[in-house]
Amino acid sequence: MIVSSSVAPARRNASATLAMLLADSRLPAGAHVSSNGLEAGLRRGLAASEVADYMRARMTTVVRVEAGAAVIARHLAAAHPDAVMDHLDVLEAEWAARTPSPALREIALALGAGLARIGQVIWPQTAEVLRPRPMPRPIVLGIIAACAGIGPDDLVRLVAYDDAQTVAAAVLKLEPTDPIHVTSWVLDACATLEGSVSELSKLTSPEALPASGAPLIEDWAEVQSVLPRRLFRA
Amino acid sequence: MTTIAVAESPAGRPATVRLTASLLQPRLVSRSAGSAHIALVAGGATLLGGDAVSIKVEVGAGCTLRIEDIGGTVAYPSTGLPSEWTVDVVVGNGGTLVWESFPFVVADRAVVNRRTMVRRGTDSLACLRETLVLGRTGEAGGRIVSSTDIRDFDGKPCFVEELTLDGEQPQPGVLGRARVLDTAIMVGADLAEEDAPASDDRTATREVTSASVADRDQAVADADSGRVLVLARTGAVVRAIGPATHAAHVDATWRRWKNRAERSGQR
Repeated sequence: MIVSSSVAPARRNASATLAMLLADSRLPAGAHVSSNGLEAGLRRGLAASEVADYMRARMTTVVRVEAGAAVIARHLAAAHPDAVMDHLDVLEAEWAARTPSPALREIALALGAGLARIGQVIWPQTAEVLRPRPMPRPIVLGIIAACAGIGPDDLVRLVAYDDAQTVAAAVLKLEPTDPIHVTSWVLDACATLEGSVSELSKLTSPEALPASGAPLIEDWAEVQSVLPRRLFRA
Repeated sequence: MTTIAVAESPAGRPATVRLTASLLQPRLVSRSAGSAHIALVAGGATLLGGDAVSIKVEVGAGCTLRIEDIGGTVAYPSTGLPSEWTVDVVVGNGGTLVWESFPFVVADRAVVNRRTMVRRGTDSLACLRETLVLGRTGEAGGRIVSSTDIRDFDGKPCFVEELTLDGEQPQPGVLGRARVLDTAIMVGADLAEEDAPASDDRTATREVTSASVADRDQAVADADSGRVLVLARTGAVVRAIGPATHAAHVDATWRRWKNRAERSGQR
């Protein structure tokens, strides 16, 4: 079922087009199962009025780690075509050491698997790297970016936008409010990260991966994983 | 720089201990073959703006070192310069370090960079405690960047984290309105079976459905027993997040881990 790249028609898409595709919630990657911790957060004391701040706080913490991992994976996949798995193992170990919550590591692998299924079919050249074992979502995203041609700046923005939109979609289900307001929160959050895009997009070494932690986000991830009567898996 | 180094002596004699005093003064409490117990005493008013405290700890192969802080640390309001608190630890093959610390209080207008680096050999154990408190009583607290980097000698990472906390700018999802973050870290022991289920049980009883202020405070206070996060590699972190040290602490888990580390150090 995997079409070899010599048979597949040459297809060139702009980085912006690919980023739009991957950030589109209509992409059948299964990302709708996540609220990015919002559901547990709301039950554990986060006020509905704080959700915009929550989106921004994510930009200065977990999004830096995720975007950094995607950018470094993209670099490794492009720079070390012969020993890519070894390099990605090192990156994954650094990512895991910065992700102390087992629930967060688990959901990243689950979302990575959903994205990897799409990646292997649409960009067959990724199959060799994506097929052997499950990898966390940011690393899968970085591999796809390397093969499909998404630039590092767009990749950082894609991770940020996706993170905020995930919270936005969840808040409309959990604490329904004016969706237009929520949309402006997404852009506010993305604007928070904009100043870091250049720094993050230049990362190449796994050891340089940002380690900006967020203790409550990690706590809520654990709460969410065993939450009774939950709407979201994460 | 304050130095604490312990190494094995020949022929079963008490461990060789090397101590260097600086802003913090190490005192030998006791020692025996392959093991030492050190108390760490503040030499003056620490931590003022511009102060740089640096502590180097070396645990020789097969040795056990227990460090006990005498009293907590207050980082006082900065006059413009940040204060630095740097801890550099090496635990040799088969070595054990247990470091029992007191709260680290970040007063209003204090600016602190705190760094803890641990390099560990095979079959080593490191058991550390870090209690960060934003503000003295009635204060919101200053700003601290606290980083932790724990790796094997060959560079393989166990736990890497950089926390940026600012009492003046609370962030939902980071500490929210809480002022205390109590953390214990155990690296080198497989804690998955011992600790993970207990933390899941507690979760079930801690659900809060209403977002009223009282419930929110309760939700924070409930966190006092701590939540165990089992790391991807060889260890775990337990955390409690809350409004005050008496309400948010990981004492019970810390005692269990500490006993386990000290037992394994006597093997």
